[in-house]
Amino acid sequence: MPEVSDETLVGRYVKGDRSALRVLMDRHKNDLLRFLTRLTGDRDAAEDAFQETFLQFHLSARRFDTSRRFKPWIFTIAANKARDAMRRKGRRPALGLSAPVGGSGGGGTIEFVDLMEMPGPRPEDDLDSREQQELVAKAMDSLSFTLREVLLLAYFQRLSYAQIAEDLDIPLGTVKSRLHSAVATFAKTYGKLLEERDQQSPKESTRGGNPL
Amino acid sequence: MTLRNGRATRLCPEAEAALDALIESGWDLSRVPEEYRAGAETLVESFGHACTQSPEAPSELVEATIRKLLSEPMSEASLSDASADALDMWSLSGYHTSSVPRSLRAQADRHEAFAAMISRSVADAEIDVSDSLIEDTLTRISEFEALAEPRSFGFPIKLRLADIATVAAVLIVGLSVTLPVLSTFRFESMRKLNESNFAVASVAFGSYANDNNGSLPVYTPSDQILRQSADTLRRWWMVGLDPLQSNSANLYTLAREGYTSLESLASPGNKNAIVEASSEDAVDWGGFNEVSYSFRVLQGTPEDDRWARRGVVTLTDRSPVILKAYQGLPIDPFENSPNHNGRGQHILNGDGSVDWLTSPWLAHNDQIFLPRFLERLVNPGVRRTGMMPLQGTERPTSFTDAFVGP
Repeated sequence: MPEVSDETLVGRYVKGDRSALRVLMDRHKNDLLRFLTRLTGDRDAAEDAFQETFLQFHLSARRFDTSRRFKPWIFTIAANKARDAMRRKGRRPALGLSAPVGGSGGGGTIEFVDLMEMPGPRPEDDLDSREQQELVAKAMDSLSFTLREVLLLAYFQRLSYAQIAEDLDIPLGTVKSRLHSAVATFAKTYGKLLEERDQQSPKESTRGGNPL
Repeated sequence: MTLRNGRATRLCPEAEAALDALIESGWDLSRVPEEYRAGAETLVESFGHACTQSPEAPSELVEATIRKLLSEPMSEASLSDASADALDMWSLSGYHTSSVPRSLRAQADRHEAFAAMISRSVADAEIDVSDSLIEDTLTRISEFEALAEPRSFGFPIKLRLADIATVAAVLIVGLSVTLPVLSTFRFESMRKLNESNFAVASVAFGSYANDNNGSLPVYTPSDQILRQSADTLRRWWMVGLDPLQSNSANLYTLAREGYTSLESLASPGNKNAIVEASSEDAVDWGGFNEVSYSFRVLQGTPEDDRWARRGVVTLTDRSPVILKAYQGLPIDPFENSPNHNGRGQHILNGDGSVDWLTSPWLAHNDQIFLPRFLERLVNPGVRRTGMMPLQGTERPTSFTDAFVGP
């Protein structure tokens, strides 16, 4: 028997089937909390945002557009709630919601990053998953909230620029500039972390300039 | 702004936060969030000291800041054109690298590799939702639902407090708009109906005058009877008590003798007005409250046709003065007729024209509800109330003195 789709469960919940919410939560709870934890960098803030996300789902379920997929929708709600949770905890998002990032008006120099020249995830890497997770987490933490948010929505949630722009209520051009900056900053930081690791244990790695 | 930890100098947390905000704003103070702006301004000022070699320059602060700046990863990074184009194309293609143009595919593969790594790090993170978090979340939703639960108020429809508040707000707004409009409609409608009564009365006065040597209506045209009653100091406010004295009995003559109907002498603004005679032989209204219009108080004997001209007030909406004076209550010489809730009154001129007055005072300081000798006690420029020594025996001082009574 095929599994009932998320979208069908939302419809059932709207019609009064309370058990549908429990099924939806069970399906997405772990992904959602991990996403929120990675986004906020704070387990408490992530749990606050988790609760707020499903409360918002309860309030907005009737307005859910059934032509859209549930998962990106709930993750976008979660991203917005994460921002609120961060604000409540006194940790500000790096910039205003519609402020572009990088390259405009700051007066600072911009370093352009070409991914092909960056050390990155490669088959020959002998990093175990835990080690790689730590490096990724560190690199993610180096990003501001707004960069992390857009990076996760694009790279992890695979949302289109237009969807991100609509859900975060920012111009599409801002989404692009933020994402370019987020990927570049992440890749650069991750590369630095890898280099540092190599310096600490040179025998363990023969990493060079040939990516992938 | 600096802390010493052994030999090392570092920024205090407040300065670090301000510096972070300054960096993220692109060194544009106007874009620094309000809460960090003061600290950021201090930092910028301190950097200025470093340039001027001022002896007051807080070198430790500058050194610590510069050290922090150098230790921070550069935030101003962006993708090269090739990487950026590949990312844009990869996203446009629905994140399918096979759909990205061949020239950008290697770059897109690189993005895919980074994305997969990040996704793995999120998905594989050893972070699991505890049962308590699920239960807490469901409890919060239940509590919220309970607050928004429709409540029973003893009738079939259940309403939430929010529904009730909304309905109440809509009703209040609706009533605040419609009530004044309805009130205005009602007032105008009654005023028009009242005006038509005056037009009917005008015809009736004319017809009566034609049949009675041009005089205004009187209870009895007998000079002899009138002279006898004059000797007994007639009180014109004896409504329903003595038709020989009552001024309203004179007006009632129009209905009694068929020149008009009681209905047309009943103002829509007088809820006690009668539209049918109380008996076949009735010669007056039963009391003050039944009388809707005040008629010119005659000087003593039936008047000739000199009244039939403009400027001589023959009929008005009921006087607000007489009843209060009769009851010994203070009167207001500026008060309008109660027929229109005090907004004004109609008057019928001797030439048959009808005017609407918003004050009982005519242009030449003649108060239509008072005889002239009382008007002289009242300065129209000063609004005041008080006892008026009306006895019910007053008469117009002259032919041109407007003075009406029941």
